[in-house]
Amino acid sequence: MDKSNDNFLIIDNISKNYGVVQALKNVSFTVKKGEVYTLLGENGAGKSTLVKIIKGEETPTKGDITLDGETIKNYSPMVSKAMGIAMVHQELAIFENMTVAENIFPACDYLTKTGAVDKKRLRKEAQDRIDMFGMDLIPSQKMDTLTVAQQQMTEILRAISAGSKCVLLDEPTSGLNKDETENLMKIIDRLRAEGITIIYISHRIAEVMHISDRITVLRDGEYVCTFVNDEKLKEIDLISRMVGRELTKSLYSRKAYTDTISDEVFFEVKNMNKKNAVYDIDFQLRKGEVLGFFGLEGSGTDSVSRMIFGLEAMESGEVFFKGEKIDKVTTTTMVDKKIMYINNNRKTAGLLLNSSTLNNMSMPVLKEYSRGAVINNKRLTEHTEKYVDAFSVVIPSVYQKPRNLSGGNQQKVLLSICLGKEPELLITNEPTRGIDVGAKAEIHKFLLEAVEKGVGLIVFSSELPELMSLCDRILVMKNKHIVGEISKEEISEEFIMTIAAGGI
Amino acid sequence: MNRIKAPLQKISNKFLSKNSFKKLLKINGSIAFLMCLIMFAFLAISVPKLFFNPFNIQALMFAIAPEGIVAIGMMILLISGVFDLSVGSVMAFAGLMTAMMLVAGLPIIVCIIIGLLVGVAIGFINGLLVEMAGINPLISTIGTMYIFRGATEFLMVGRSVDYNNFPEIFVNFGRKGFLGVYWMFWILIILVVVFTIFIVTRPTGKRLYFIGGNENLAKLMGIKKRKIRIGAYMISGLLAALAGILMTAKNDAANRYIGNVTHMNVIIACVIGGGSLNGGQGSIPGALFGIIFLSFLQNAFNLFDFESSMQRIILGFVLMAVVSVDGFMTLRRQKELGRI
Amino acid sequence: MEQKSISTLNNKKKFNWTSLTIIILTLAVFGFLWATSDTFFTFANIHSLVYDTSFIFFGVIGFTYLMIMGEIDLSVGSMFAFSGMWLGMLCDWGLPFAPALIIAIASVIGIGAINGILVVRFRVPSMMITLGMMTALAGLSNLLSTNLYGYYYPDAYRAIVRPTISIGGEEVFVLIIIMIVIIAVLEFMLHKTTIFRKMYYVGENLDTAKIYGIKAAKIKFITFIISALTAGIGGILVGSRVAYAAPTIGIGYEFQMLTAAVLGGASLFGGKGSILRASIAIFFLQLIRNGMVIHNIDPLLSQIIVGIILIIAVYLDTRVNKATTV
Repeated sequence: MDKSNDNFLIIDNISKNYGVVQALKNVSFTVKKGEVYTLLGENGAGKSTLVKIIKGEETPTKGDITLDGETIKNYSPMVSKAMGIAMVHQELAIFENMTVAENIFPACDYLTKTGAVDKKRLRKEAQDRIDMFGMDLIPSQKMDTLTVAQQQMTEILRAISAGSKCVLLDEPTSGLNKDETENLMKIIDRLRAEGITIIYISHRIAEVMHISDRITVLRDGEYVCTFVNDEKLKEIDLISRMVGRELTKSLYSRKAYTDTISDEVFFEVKNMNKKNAVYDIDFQLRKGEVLGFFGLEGSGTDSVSRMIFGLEAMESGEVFFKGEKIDKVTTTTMVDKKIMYINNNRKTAGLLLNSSTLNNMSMPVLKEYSRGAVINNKRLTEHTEKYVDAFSVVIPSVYQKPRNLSGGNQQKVLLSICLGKEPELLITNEPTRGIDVGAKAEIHKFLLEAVEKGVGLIVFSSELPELMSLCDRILVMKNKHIVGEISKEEISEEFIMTIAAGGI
Repeated sequence: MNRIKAPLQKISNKFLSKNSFKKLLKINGSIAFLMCLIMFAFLAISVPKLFFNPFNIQALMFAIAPEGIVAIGMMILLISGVFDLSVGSVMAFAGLMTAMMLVAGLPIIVCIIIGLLVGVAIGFINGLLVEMAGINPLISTIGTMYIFRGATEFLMVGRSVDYNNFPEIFVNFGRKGFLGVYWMFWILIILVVVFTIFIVTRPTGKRLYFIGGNENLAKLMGIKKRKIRIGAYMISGLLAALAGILMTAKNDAANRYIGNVTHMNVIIACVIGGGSLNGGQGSIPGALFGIIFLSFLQNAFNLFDFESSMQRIILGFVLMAVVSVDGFMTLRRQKELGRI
Repeated sequence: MEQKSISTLNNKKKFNWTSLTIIILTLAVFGFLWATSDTFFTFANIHSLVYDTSFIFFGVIGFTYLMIMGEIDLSVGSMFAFSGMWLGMLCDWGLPFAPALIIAIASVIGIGAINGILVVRFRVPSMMITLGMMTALAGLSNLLSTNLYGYYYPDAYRAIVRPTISIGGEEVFVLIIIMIVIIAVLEFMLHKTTIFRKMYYVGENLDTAKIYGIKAAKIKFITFIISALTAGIGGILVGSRVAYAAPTIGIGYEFQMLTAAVLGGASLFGGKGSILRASIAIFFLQLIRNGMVIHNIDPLLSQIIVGIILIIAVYLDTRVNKATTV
């Protein structure tokens, strides 16, 4: 084999524009056959756009892609499929109404002599794949009876079962727990051994350093550099290249010691239970304290955050706020008591993407800015301007729709909506998911400023550094209940991970 | 011996296991089937003489056949995640077209083919509106429903020509049968068998479920969503036209009221038969059982000499109950998985 | 808009031209008919046109609200038939008019509540539930109209829509004045009051509205009641006008209302819609029918024209929205 054939994929000067936004700027690099090639970068760095172009779901504005010696002229998922490219999407992409086997082979590849779909063969092949990769699935199971992690495993199985030469994995581990992630790492190793090229996207640096052959860093749509993953490569090299500046001390450093915590219990949950979701949840938030919740996917932190705010019903349990029992935990009573919730996915719930920022800001404060039932639009506009200004949200006017804002700005609007209510307690579920490091630091600053003004804060997050920089105390969840409590003196990444992922 | 025994064992194990009834209920369309059985048993026991009267059986066949044929097409659309309210108008319009050609003296076979092609063409228009123009199926098929009902009325009301007295062969096509079963009922049986086999075994049939389950993903998986959906609309149009032509033949006259409640009946039957407006669910036998249930219900009201409007009242509540129970089950499953 | 201290904000509301479409269309048809016919622009003709509009208008109120919430109520047409006949039936049973009216309104509210509770509680598509209700109510109305065959409603019932007042020397139906007042009040409320603002929020994104403490389920439930109630009132008014249980009342109204609401800017996905524009759209549909009669076009063709208008309107709407959101 001569040298040039080793280059499986050549990205040559690719640019991609969405209207005026340039998602990719003249990106070039080369992927060799059979290597695990990682794309690393902050959100909005252009990784997902790039893999979508490789898969043919998007067409580049400029530049060429050469796949296996052939320059792609016609970008379409069909063409890339024919060329042996499969992809696992960032968002769960499954057919809920079908079985596992049908999800693994949506192309109905196995036909009998008469041209009918060979169901037996389909199930057998599916079973073979499941066994081969040691997964916990049954081919005839309906997808809508599976957990999210199982669904994600099915999707991964589909990508690697298609007889592909190249598999694109866009954050495949976001829904997986530690064991499942390790299993995926084994699968990737195995695929590499079979000569299949892997293009891998992940935020988890440890994981990336564990599995990759080479790592390319993208930043703001531009190619930054490529590292060969050997012993000399340090985590900090990657992070500083991703961020493009030295990490500021305030971010990813432990919260400064505060003496303002009193013994007064501000918010308390007693013995909260729900079948298949969480059990025996007890905790207290003291006045002036910032409480963190950490748990890997599936540990139940998401449910806890939603249940204490009334977004999900609890089967049993009591909630106390400022010493008083809340009889009916519904979002309405919580908001009335000035308890606000920042949702982990602002797009599905949290923002009205197609309404003006003014309307978004008005949602929780309509009552405050109306006389009787008549809304005072002028005062609402002033209210909006005040918070937009305070949180340096970059918008041309209060009539701007959040849909057209960047992720960081959207998140700031979300924060403004909640803080605009002048809350006494803020429950935040992944307050900085999917935004860049700069915006992250700003939001952390705003949150801590609010705490200084006396707002209670509970942070649910899957990012340890975030918890460490915000919280005085962290509760660790595993298998649907609280398994450990760490005071600020003991907070360290290793210690928390050991509890969350270790075998207690 | 073993070769026979083993599957038998399997089957008996399947049905004697503790949750067998629950499992049975989960099979698509089984609720409609059970409801048919109950209605059948009820009618057979309470009014056997009236129910098994040959005239009643004939009336039942005439009631089931056309709507059953239309329901096949509707179910295919529902599985792929869309629906078609224009089927009733297509029945009337295609029937009228065939009638006009017959009156003009064209050969019968040509007239029928023209009628069917009209149905296919309307289905194609629906498909284009939904898939290419991106108009919601509710709006686009209500639009075509208006348009072709209007066209039928425009062509029929106040004209001097009467579209009746068709050639005897054509009329017999609607009124006569074979082995005591009407042609239109034979056609229904054959279509149900053919389309069931198609849906269950052919890759294209399977793809309907993929599209109905997650259309964007289906597209990414290389399934030609647009083609398949437009095809499904054309099949729906074709079957509706066939039903309309059969009714026209049976009546020996074009009738502008043909099918004016069919679209509602058929959608209701399909939902009772396991289809869902959300797509990705349903089966052809389910649609058939839904129609049979509806016809039994109507029959019961006729036999007991109730007002026929009572039937619509009950039907409405049955639909609401079926949809609510389905919603309740889905919610409970979600709750058990801890998703909500 | 007042300019605040923040220099970066330029709070000029961009005018949404698409909102004028139906008004321009109506004016165009109006102008065309005025120019091409002598019989069109007479007081009697316009007056009867507006009077016709005022009946179905009541149904459109609730229907549009539900569309703003992202739901649909197909039972409005049957409700038109049912409520009027049910009131007639109660009168026929010998009840005095006032209690009969109260019972009829209460029944209508109950029906709306059933629709609402099923949709909200079981989270099922409103189209299916209300399709069931539509069928059931159509059956009930049929039953009523058979039972009421040959019965004329009592005077008190028939009197509801008859009063007129004299404006500028011409007798105008009070109902028309009521309609105009209601439109004005509702349009104001839609823009200025909390409950209607919340409706838009829930219509655009129910989960988001919930997070900020808005009682989404309750609002949705109430809207189903409003829809049944307004259609029920419309039905009683039609009953009062027709004065007997005509079996053709309400047939196809749900589709007319859908067409009107969509022409008036509502979307099947919720979050959009206006009572004023939907009302104008109803008038527009009446104009088209009127124009066809005036110009001797077979009125049977009006169905075809309404169908085509509906499709074109929605097509343009999807096009425009695609262009602005991406």
